[in-house]
Amino acid sequence: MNGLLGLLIKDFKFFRAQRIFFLIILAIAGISVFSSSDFGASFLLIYFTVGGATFVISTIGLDEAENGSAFLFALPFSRRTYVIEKYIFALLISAASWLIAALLRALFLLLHGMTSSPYTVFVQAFPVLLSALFMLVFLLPLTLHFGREKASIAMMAVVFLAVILIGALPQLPALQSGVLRNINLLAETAAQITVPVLLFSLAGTLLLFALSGLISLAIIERKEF
Amino acid sequence: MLQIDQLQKHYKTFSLHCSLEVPDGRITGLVGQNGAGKTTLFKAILGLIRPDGGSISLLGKDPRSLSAQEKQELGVALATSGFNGYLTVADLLPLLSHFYATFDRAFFLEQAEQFHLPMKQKIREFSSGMKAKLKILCAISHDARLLILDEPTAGLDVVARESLLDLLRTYMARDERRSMLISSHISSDLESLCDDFYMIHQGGILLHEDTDVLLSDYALLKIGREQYQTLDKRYLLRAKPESFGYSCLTNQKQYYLENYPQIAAECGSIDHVISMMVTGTPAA
Repeated sequence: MNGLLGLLIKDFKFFRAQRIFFLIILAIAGISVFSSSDFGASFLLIYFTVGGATFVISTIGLDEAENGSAFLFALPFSRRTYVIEKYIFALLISAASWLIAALLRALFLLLHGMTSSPYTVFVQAFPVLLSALFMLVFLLPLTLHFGREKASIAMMAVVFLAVILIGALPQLPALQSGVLRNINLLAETAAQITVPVLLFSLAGTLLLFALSGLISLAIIERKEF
Repeated sequence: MLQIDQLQKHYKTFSLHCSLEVPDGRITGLVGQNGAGKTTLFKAILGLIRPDGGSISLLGKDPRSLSAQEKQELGVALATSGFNGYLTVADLLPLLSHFYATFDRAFFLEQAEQFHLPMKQKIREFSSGMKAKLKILCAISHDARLLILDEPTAGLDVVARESLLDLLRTYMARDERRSMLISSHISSDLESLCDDFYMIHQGGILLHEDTDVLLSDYALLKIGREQYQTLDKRYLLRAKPESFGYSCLTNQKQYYLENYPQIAAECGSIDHVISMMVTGTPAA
């Protein structure tokens, strides 16, 4: 597919140009590893994964900046290639961010003598990756349609809610007992999640991702620059 | 190479309606005021906007149906758009290598050095002149058959402009099948570069002429009021009242020089043509 690799390189160059932002988050994550609370490590698992995943939205903003789309789409690649590249980049950057964050969390658990197996640690972390990808299912077409500025409002709301719900909610006293206790059970039962369930969840998310890609393609084919 | 037939694009406050042709081996200029429709036309040619009517044939196809491989035959520089400013010239090397199979890395590096373009500095920190040079360099580094250049010399000083125009001339001379469509506010650039030019005004083509013909046959005539009344006006394209009488644009300079030897005539230039075609009225 002509131009796909060039577009990927462009987005990774953008990532390199913005690396300070991610290095700061990583530094904070590193500090949290030595803290005494699992909350910090869990929160940063979510924050870093979501931050990495949503970087693909930033690349769309960078493509659009200073009317850059007009020149970009005059380069030798098709609009279809552009959409495919964004989704591939989203998968790569999300998976990489999640993996780094999950490894840091595993390191935290190791340092604090927690006895979870590596399998359990990653199974617990896996829904975070799926959630980040699920968020992109909506954000990517929204951003391609409305542009970064308008879509970023929606993005901020979604990220805020995701972080609060996935990260902070299990820490609330109400969760220790009562009706919301079931959410806490997710972590407790993570060890019982089987490989087929994981694969089924991943396949479902990827299917939604593909559907989102088709919507994005229809949007970008109609778009004028 | 490029054929535009009755192209139409309508916006709320502006409509484009024009035809234009760039044959193989020709350098065609596009002149017009700000807001005349040059950029809209360029966008339509590149398939960035969808026409409301008419047709465009670019390399023998509708621009929106050109394959990525076919688009490699184009070299594009746009006035208000380019690579993102967070990238550096060094960043562009792998990008261009992957976009264009015929990207000439050695030529690019050599020219970048000649243009004093820093490899590691972000493009956003470049001066407007450096940005203009980089855009041209990107357009001519992959053996493109058709260059589409929108205001490529904007922001350049005289010396830089001349060296850039020389570069374009050399590029075009290297293969006589290469073509170019170029717009510029600087008429002397077009006069020294183009085989022919189109003048666009309020979305329509007001004039199409060979540059040689314009420079040899067009003239701006300075005529007194009384003389204007008796003047043969058949070959006057436009007339404009002045304090001394009338300024008139003709495309038959020789006729007036021979039949009205007392008339003062300034040789034709794109500036005269633009000014008179826009501000003058048909001679009556």
